[in-house]
Amino acid sequence: MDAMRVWERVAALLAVALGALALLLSRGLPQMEGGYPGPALFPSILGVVLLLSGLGLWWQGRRARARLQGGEGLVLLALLGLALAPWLLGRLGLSPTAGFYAAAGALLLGVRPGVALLTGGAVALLVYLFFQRFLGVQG
Amino acid sequence: MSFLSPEALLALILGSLYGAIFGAIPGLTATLAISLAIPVLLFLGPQVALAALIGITATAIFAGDIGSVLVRMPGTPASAAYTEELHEVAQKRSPAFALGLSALPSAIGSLIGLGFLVVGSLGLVALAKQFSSFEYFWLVLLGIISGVLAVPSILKGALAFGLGMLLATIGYDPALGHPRFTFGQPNLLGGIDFIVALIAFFGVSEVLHHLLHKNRSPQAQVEGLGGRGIFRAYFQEAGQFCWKERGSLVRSSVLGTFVGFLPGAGSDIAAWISSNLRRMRGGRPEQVALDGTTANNAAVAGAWIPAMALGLPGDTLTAILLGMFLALGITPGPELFNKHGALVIQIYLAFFLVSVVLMPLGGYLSALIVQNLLRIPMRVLMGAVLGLCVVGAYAVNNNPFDLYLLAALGALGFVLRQGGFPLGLVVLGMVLGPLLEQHFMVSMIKTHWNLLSFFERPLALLLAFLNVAMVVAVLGFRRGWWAALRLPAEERA
Repeated sequence: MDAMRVWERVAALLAVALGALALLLSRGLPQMEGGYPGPALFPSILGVVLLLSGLGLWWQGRRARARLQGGEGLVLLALLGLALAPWLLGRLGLSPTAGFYAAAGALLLGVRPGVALLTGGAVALLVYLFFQRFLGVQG
Repeated sequence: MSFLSPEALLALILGSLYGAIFGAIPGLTATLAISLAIPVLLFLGPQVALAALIGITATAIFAGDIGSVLVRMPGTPASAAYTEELHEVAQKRSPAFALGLSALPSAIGSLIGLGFLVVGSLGLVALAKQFSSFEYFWLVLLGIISGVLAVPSILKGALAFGLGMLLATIGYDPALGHPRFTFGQPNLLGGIDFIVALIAFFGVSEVLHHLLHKNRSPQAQVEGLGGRGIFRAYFQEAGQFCWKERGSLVRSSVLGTFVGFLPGAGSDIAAWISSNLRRMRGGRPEQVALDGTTANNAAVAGAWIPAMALGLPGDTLTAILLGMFLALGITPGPELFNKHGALVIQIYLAFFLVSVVLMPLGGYLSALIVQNLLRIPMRVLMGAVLGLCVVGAYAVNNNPFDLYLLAALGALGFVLRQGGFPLGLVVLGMVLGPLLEQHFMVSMIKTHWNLLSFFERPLALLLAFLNVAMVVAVLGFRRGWWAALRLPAEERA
């Protein structure tokens, strides 16, 4: 429960930030003829909804204890690794990239290296046969 | 060539198998399946091509539940509406029972939808013709309200829905066609691809969740999956549950067919409305899953009603189908019934065969596959899921930029998931948000911003009243309902 509160607060802050950004950026959007609101209308409403719900959630849980449970570093590492996917795709190609992520994911999850490599190999083969050869996905 | 020809029957079976594979794998959708199949089907005769198409559409939507049962990842957006509940049922009872709970109501929903397709279509189509942007606005709003108010914390629901809808505003706006929130990035002009978002929210966040809890993640239950066990759980126990819930089956089928036949709506919205209505009535996970899966399959047949009778697509799948009709030299609409009566009967027959034979049988076969897949440790499976998420996100548009979105949205999904936010509502926001904006802006432009026009048409007024009634009813009883929704599922059961 403590750990959930941390993420609840992170989400609440994120909502406040995104809501404020939506409101700010909406100001630069054009209006319709006659001065009626145009593309800015819905993002502005959503900005207010996100701001209010984010602040409300923060206020609601302000006194609750919040503590991380550990393991968040691995999650961050995985996300950073995932952000490298376009770069890896350009260098390795689609099926080796898929195999790499499958193996790396399995390793991070605590699977033995041999099994992780086997997982990566199986996924790479599946992707090559099904996606690239059969479906014609390029990459 | 008759529909009962070996070629057409083979096309129906192969189409069903192909659709089931696409539906079951998260990231591969029924739309993608049909898009890839059309170039091949065009070389076949109308009977064979349509048999394959019916097989693909009917089983792909049902097979979306297989991913939900196995790894808590919906194979299709329609299954996202009740993924949590279906997975919970699989964990609590058995995957075979959960699959039976998916296949049997799906078949019944599809059959009842077919009944409407055959005999009741004309009256419903006449009603749909009365719908304008005003009525659609209220209808979409009804779906949104039922979604947001159904979760225990309304703040979390509003936040999740708002985030989904905000994500959907990226790209060209529906009023002026002006780019919004693209930050000069051409890849964002078309908006965030819904499938990429779905893979990120449900796939990547699931893998990250397992990473965070890697020492505490329970291995999926494999007990009771022996040959006889599967048969009993799949057919007998699930069948008994369906019989007990026969009233819900009929109600969800009618609702699903109705939502499905409305242009612009479809299986996704049908599943959301149906399962949310059950949640709001304090339904147990089994009941929520049953209502959702019945409605989404009934909606498949429902979407064919306006497609066949009026030439109006009920959803993306039927839009592709209409293009297929035209490519085969058949004009959909009343002319289809006048000139191609035999083909119409064959379409009905194909739906019947898929519902009665292929869906329950395919579901049973998938249960056997699930049995084997469950033997793979969840950590290995999650590693493979991560690799497939990367491929799935890339394969949708063959665009490496989507992989950046995958990482960013995966992080967002992870935060929301860990914070106990309903991820399904983010998806709901992405589906219904653009529809709400579009119908609102079209209505306003038509009436020069006369807000009263939303209450001037009798049907619109009726739907507006339904919205108000739903808000009042939910808020009036929220103490009891929310308390029930806050209870752990075990206690609800």
